[in-house]
Amino acid sequence: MSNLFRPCAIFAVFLSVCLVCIALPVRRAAAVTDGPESASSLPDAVLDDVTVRPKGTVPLSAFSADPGPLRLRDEAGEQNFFIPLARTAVLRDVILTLRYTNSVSLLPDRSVLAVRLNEATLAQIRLDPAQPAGEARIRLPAEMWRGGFNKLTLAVIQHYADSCEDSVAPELWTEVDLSQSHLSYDLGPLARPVALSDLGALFSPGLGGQRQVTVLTPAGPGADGLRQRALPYVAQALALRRQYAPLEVLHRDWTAAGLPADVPGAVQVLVGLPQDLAAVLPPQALPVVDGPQATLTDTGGGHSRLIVTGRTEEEVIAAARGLTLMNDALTPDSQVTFPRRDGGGGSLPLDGRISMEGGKSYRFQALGFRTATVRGKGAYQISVPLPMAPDYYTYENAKVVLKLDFSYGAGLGAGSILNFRINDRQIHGHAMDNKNGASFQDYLITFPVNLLKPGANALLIDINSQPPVSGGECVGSRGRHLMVQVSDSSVITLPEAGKAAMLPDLARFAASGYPYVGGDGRGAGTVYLGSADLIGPALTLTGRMAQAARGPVDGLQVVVGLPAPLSGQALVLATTAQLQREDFGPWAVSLSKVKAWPYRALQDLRTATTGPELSLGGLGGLLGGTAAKPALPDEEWMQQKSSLGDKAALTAFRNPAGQGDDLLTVVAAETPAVLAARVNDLIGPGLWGQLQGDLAVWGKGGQDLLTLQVSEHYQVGRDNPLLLLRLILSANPWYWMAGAAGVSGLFTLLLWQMIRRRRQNFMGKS
Amino acid sequence: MGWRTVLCVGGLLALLLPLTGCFGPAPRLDGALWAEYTRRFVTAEGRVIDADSGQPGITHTEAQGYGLLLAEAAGDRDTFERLWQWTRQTLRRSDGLFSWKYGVCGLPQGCVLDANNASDGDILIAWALLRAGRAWDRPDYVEAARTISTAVAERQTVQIGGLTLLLPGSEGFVRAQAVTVNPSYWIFPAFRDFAAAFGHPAWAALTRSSLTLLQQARFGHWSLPPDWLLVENGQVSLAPDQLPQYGFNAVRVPLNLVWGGQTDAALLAPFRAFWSAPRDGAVPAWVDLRSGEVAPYGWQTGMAAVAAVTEGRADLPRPGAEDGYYSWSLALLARVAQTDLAR
Repeated sequence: MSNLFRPCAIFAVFLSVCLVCIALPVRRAAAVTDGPESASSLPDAVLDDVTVRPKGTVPLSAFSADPGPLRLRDEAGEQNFFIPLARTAVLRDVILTLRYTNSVSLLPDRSVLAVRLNEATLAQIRLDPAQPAGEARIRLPAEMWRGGFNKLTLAVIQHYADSCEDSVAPELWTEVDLSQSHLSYDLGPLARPVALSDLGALFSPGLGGQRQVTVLTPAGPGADGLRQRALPYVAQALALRRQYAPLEVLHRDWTAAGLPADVPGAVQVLVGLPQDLAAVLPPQALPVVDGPQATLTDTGGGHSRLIVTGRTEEEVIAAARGLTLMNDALTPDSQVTFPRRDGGGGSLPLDGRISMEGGKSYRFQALGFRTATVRGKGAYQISVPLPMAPDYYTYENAKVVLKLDFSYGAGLGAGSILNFRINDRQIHGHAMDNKNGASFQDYLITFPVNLLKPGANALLIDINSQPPVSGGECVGSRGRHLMVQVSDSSVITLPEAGKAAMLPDLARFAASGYPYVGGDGRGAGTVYLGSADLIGPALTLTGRMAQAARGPVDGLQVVVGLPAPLSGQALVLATTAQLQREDFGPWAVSLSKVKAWPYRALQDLRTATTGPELSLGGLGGLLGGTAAKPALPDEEWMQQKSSLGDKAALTAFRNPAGQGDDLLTVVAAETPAVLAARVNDLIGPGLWGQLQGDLAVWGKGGQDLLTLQVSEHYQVGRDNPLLLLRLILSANPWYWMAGAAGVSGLFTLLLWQMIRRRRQNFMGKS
Repeated sequence: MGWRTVLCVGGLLALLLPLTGCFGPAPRLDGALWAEYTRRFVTAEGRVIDADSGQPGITHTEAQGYGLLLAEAAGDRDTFERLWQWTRQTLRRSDGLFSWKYGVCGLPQGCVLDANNASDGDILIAWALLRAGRAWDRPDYVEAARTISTAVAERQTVQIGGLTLLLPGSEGFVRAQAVTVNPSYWIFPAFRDFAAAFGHPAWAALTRSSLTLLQQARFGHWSLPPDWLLVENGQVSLAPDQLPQYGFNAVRVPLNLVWGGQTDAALLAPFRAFWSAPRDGAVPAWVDLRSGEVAPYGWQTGMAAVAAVTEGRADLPRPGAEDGYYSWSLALLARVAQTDLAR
C-alpha cells in the first residue's frame, strides 16, 4: 500500500464510522412546518351583500367543508349544515332547492329524505326507485330562522327490504348534489334603528352580512395621517367582524362638493375630523364629538353610515383603534367614545388570539374548546383548536404530549373507533371495544411537533359509533344509546421552543401574517403603495392579515409612495410600471416592465395561460449579482419584457435595501384595477389557504395559481442564539457534514502522523 | 460726581437689590381691598365662602378660582397656598378636574355636595396657578396648571362640525346633538395664556368658536348673549331649561372679552348700548331676553366695575359693605383686569 493511499484509506474508514455516528444524533431542527392542508373546517362561503331587498342564492356547498356530493348511507343517515344569518338581516323568504339521486334498490314507501331546520322537520321527500333522480323545493319559513347559526339537517331513512335488512347494506344510499342544491333568499331592510351592537352583525359572515365596504376620507394632504394610520385600523376592525370570510375594502375621498354618490355597499364608513364631516354632512347628522368616537346611524333605505372621528387626528386614530377592540354586544348605543387613558397607546390586548408557547401545558378549555358529546350511531368529528405562534420553533423530533380525558358509553359494537388526527395527519387510533363502556383520564398520545404549522391547527377526533350486531342480520340496534364524550379538561403540552422562523414563507404569512404581525400583535413593517388608488386593495389585504393573526395588528401603516431606498420590513402594492426603478433591480423576482422570472415559473405560466400576455419576445440577459441570492441557478433566471395581463404576482424575499432580517413582500399587477380585483381574489379562502413558497402568480377568480420557492431561505429569530444556530444547521444539514468531514480529516491527519512517527521510530530502532 | 459718590450709590444699590428680589413684582391689587375680601370671604382653612348663594358656608370652584386669582394679584403667597392646598386636597377628582360644590352636610367638616365639575372654576384655578407660577417662579404651580388645563381641553370640550364648544360640566350638558353652553365660562385671557404656555390646540379652537357663537348669540331688544345658550344643528337658541336671561352669568362676558384682548367694537356694542340706555335709576341686574322684562333692582358694584373696565374708564367703583361675595369678586377682578390691560 502506497504512502498516499494509506491515509486516504484510513480517512475513508474513519469518515464512514463518523458519518454513521453523526447521522444518528443529528436532529434536524425545524420550525413548525406547514401541514398538508388547512385544518379549518369553516365553510368557504361566499355570500352576496345585502342591500335594499336583496335576493340571492347560495349553494349548499358553501356551508360544507367537503365540496363534493353528499352521500347519505345506511339505514339512517344525516348531515347537518350550519348556516349563519346576520342578526341584522330580516328574512322575507327562504327556499331550499335540493337536487338528489337515490339508490334504485330502495323501497318507496319506507324511504324518505327529511329536511329539518333547527330540529323541526319541514319536509319529507319520498325516495322513489322508479325516479331515482329528483329535485325538490322546500320553503323554510322565515320565522323559523334566528340570528347566528341555523342548523339545517338532511336526513334519510331508507330501506331495501321490509324485514331482515342489513342496516349498512351498500344499496342504502342517497346522494345530494351540494353544488346544484341551493338556498334562495329574500332579505328586507332592518325595521329598527341600528346601534353599534349591530356592527358585528352587519359584517357577519352569514346571510345578510356585508362582503364589501367603502371607506371615505377627506381629500387632500391634510388627511394623509388618517389615511396612513386610521384606515388600517378601520379595515381590520371590520374584517375581524367578518371572522373567516373575506371583506373587500374600497376607498374614496370626499370633496367639498359632497360625498361620492356612487358608493357601493350598504355601509359606508366616514373617517375624518368634525370640521371635515361638516363639509359633507347636514348639521343634524353631525355628532357631538368629545373624544375618539364612533357613530353608527341609519341613512335610510337599509343603508347605514359609520362615522369614525375625534377632535384631533390622534383622536380619530384612537377611535379607529378602539373599534378593533370594541365589544359590540356591550355597546347598545349608536355612539361610543373611547376615553384615552393616561399613558395610552400600549399594546392591544391579546384576547382571542391565544398562541400556545413552548414548554407550557394548556387545557383544551383555555383554547376555546368546550366538552363535546356525540350521541347515536354514525360518523362524527370533533375539532379542537390548537393555535400556534407564527415563530414557534423547536427541534424536529420534539414531541407534543396530549393527555386526553374522554369516555364512551356502554353498548358500542364492532367497528366503533376513535381516530385522532392533527391537521389531517393520523396520529393515533383507538378501538372502543369495551361493551361496558370506558372512561379515560390522561390518555397519553404523543406526536411530532412538526405536524403543527404556524397559526391555526386542529386536533380532529373522528368518531365512528356502531351498535352491536347480535343474533343475525334481522336483529339490530338503532344505536340511539351510543355516546362518546371528549372533555375540555384534556391537556396538551408543547416542548420547549424558541422564537425563530425561516423566511420567506408565504404559507406562514397566510397563516399568521408573520413577519408583519408579531406574536405580541404589533405590526412590524409598513405597507407602501405605488399610488393612492391602491389604498383600497391595501386595506383589503390589511384586513385579511388581521383575520390571519386572529386579532388586530397594532401600528400597521399604509403609506402612499415608494421611498428610495425602500428599506426596512415592507409590503409593497404597486403596478408593474411603478416598480420600474433602478433600485428595485436587485429584487429576487423583478415585477417591473422588464421582469425577471425563474425559468420554471415561465414554463408553468406558459402552460397555464392561454392568452398572449406572457409572450417571450423580449428575452434579455441573465440576472446576476442579486443581493438576495435566488435558490435557482443564474441560468434559470430569465428577463423578459411583457405584461402580467390579468394576473397578479405576490413575491417575498429578503429586502436588499433592508437591514438584517427585513422581509420585502411585493404584490403587483398591470393596473390598479386589476390589482384590486386580484387582491380580492387573493383574500378568498380558496386562494389564501394555498399560498406557499415565496412566489405566487394567479389569475382571474384565483385561477391558474402557481406557487414556487425561488429564493434562498434565511432565518430570523428574536432570542436564544443557540436555538437559532441549531435552526440554521438544521436548515443546512451540509454544514454538519462539512464540519464533520473537516474534523475527521484533521483527526485522520493526526492519526497518520502518529502512525508515521511510530513507524519511523520503529524503523530507526530496528 | 466723584468716585466716592459713585461708590456710595453702587453700595446702596447693592444693598437694595436683594431686597427688591425678596418682594418680587409689585402687587396689582390694592392691599386694603384684598384684606377686606379675605376678612369677609376667605376662611382660615382656605375656602372662599359664597355668602350670596343663600346656603350657609357654600364654596364652589369658581369662588376658589377667583380667590386664587386675586391672591396672586395681591401678591399674597400664604393665602394663595392655603386656597390651593384646600382646593387640591378637598375638591380634586381623579380626572384632574374639581368637584364644583362644597358645603355643610352631616359631617362636621363639610363635604362635596355635587361631584360634577364646573369648567369655569377649573379654568380659573388653572389660570391662577399659571400666573402665580410665573410670578413667583413656582414650577409646581405651572405643572398643576398644565395638568388641569389639559384635563379641561381633553375632557371638557366637544366638537360639532367646525365648532369647538366648552362643556359647562362633565355631566348633563349634552343631549343627543344639543349642547348647552355658558358664554360667561369662555375666559378668553385664560384661553390665550394656556395656548401660549402649553400649546394645546383646543384653546385656539375654543377662542375661534366662542367668538363665532358670541356673534350669533344675540337675543332680545338689546341683542345680548344669554346666561345659558343651546347649540344644536349649527343653530343657537336660548337654553330651554334655564331662565332666558342676560344676568349674573353673562355680565362676565364683556370682562372676559376685554381682558382677553377681544375688543372688536361690534362684539362689545350690545353691552355698551344696554348700559348706556337712558333709564330711570340704575342699570337693571338682569333682563329677560324673551319678554324684555328687567330686574326690579339695579346692578351691583361688581357689575358696574365690569362695565367701567369695558368702557375703559380709569375710575372703577369700589365695593363696600353692602356688596356681597359676587359683587366684591367682580369688582376686584375688574381692577386686576384693568391693571393687566395697562401693562
